[in-house]
Amino acid sequence: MTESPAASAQAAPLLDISDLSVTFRSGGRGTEVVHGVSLQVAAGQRVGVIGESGSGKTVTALSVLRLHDRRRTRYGSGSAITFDGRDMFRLSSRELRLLRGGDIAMVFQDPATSLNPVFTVGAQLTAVLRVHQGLSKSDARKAAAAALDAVEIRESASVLASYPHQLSGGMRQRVLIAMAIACQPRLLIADEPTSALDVTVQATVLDLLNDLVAGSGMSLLLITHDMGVLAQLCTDVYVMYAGRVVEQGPLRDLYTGPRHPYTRALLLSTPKVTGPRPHRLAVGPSTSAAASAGLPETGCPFAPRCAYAEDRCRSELPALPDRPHAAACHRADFVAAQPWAVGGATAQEPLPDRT
Amino acid sequence: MAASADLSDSPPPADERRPADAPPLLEARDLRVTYARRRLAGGTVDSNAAVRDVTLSVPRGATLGLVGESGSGKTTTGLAVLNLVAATGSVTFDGREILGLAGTEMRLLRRRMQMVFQDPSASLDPRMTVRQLIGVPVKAHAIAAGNQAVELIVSLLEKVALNAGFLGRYPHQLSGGQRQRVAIARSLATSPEFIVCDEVTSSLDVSVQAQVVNLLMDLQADLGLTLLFISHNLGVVRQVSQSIAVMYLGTIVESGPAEQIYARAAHPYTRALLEAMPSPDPDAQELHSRVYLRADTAGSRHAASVPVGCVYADRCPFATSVCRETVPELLERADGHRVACHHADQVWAGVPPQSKGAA
Repeated sequence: MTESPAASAQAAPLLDISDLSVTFRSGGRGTEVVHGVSLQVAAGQRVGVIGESGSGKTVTALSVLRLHDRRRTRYGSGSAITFDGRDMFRLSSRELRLLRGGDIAMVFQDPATSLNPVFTVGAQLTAVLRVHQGLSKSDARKAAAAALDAVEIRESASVLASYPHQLSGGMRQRVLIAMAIACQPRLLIADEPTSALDVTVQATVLDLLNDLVAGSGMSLLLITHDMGVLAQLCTDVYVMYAGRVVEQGPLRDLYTGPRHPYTRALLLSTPKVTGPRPHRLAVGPSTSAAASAGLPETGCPFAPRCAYAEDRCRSELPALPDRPHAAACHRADFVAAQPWAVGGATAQEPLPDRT
Repeated sequence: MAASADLSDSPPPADERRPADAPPLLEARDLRVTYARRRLAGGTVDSNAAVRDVTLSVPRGATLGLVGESGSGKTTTGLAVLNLVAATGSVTFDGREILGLAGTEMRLLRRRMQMVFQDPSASLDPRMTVRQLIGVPVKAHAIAAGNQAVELIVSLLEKVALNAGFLGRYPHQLSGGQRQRVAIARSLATSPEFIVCDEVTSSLDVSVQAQVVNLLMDLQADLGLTLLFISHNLGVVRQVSQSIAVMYLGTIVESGPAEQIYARAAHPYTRALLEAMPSPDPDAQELHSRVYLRADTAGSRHAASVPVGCVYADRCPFATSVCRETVPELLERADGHRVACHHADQVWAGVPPQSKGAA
């Protein structure tokens, strides 16, 4: 499942985000929250973006469909997003509307708030099909039942007649996935699709997503804070910190030989259910804490919390090299040469333990 | 689960801190909590207990991890052992029965037992400063006043790796991890011996979660705290707990020493929970082989609609007719490892269920 289709990764990307910068204005001030992010998803490729709250991963994903509030969002002058060769910044609102839920579908984190509580599941699901595929009412009804079948919902008739509050969380997320894939999108953007679910339900939803994506050949852009979830669905990873991509590459390379100190910290701080239990968990810095403490004006945003930082890191922003597996770190080669046990079982990382 | 067999080779460092045969500080026996009856879509129900016949004990200075999915009764159990909801059965704290205690007697006991909640942005009053927030228990229990109170509050902040600079801040001026530290500092104000931690890291980012977990373990070592650690995250529970209790539909289905349960669970539900934890290892073989977890039956049930027989029977790949007729008892297998399953021998031996389709 996790074999990386090397060929597809080299084909012309279906989604190409290039040098994306996003600035939110509030109260006359502008805050740039995403700085020069470049990310590609090839046809059939499954890409995961991992980072903590405040790292800019969701802002990046929402930019693809231009879902930010237009009045207070500015994209950088060099920013470009193309989907299947089309410049997303030049699309009219009508063209965008047709793309949303059509060729590009999205699944959001909280299934309770993504469904309208006053309409039945059937009404919401058939609306999607009628708008995007121009189906008649009865055809849409049949297609909706088929979509629920595809997400392994057995009693589709009773679910179609239900209101969202009558369904469990896992069932609601299945309905949302059914809605997302009903129009056979070419790209599925899933933003923390299982974070609100119990672990057993999460496992079945991940299995379902895996089967759907593998079966249809659609591309996947997964946003998550959980490396375990990412590993279940994706072959390639972008690690974000403070609005930038700090490391990117095939999942296996990242997992077996992370090149950025932040990626190492991220992998080490997750408590595991197998393998040796560390005496203490390694503590990585969090983006939100860094943001509240204020990021440095110059140099690497990670430098104040990095055990490997040297003078250069505090003055010069490291670039992300153009390589299959790359880290935006001046000391990437040195970091990568440090002892690393797969999964961080025995590696001892010299990280500052503070907020 | 073969991958976890090497667990026994690793020294369990947390156990060093545990007094070997410490008497339990907290013991609950046949605990039962019944909420007001309500009608569910599933049809009529003959019982509506959120927690039924829960028996557990936490040795002084140790941590008991209570795991289970939403709706399993973990939080209700946590509230019940603190005498915060009406419960039947028995809860003894430091050898004294506390169910039924009220008024001054209970209030005096409350100093010794505290609770920290999941969402610090909900459990901290947004209109109070950190100083006022931590000051509430200090004042309510008349622990200190005036300058002494401020000194105490600052020392509590220092215990959770914050400082006097935070005194004047409001919760919205703090990060999620800092807020949870303030909530922990507040719970420490009365110098409690026992703290119920209810999903204290669930709303936090993974690295902040690691900080809070380390902090709790340090505080436990320094202050000799006894913890009931409620969480749905098996990784976090493993990190902090010496013993584990797994809840399903209001009952404990498996309990015992943490390392034993993680290495060799004997209840199908515990195995399913462990199997469901996604591994970050792209080469993990068990990635897509689901033995104990069945897609068509995964999903939380409400404790109100309990079937006859074993609570887990309708989700269990091992279930046979006996499971649907007779409630399995929580029986001791070995050294404190208890399991409530008719097929525990088979599960424990790692023999997979017959076939996924046969149900």
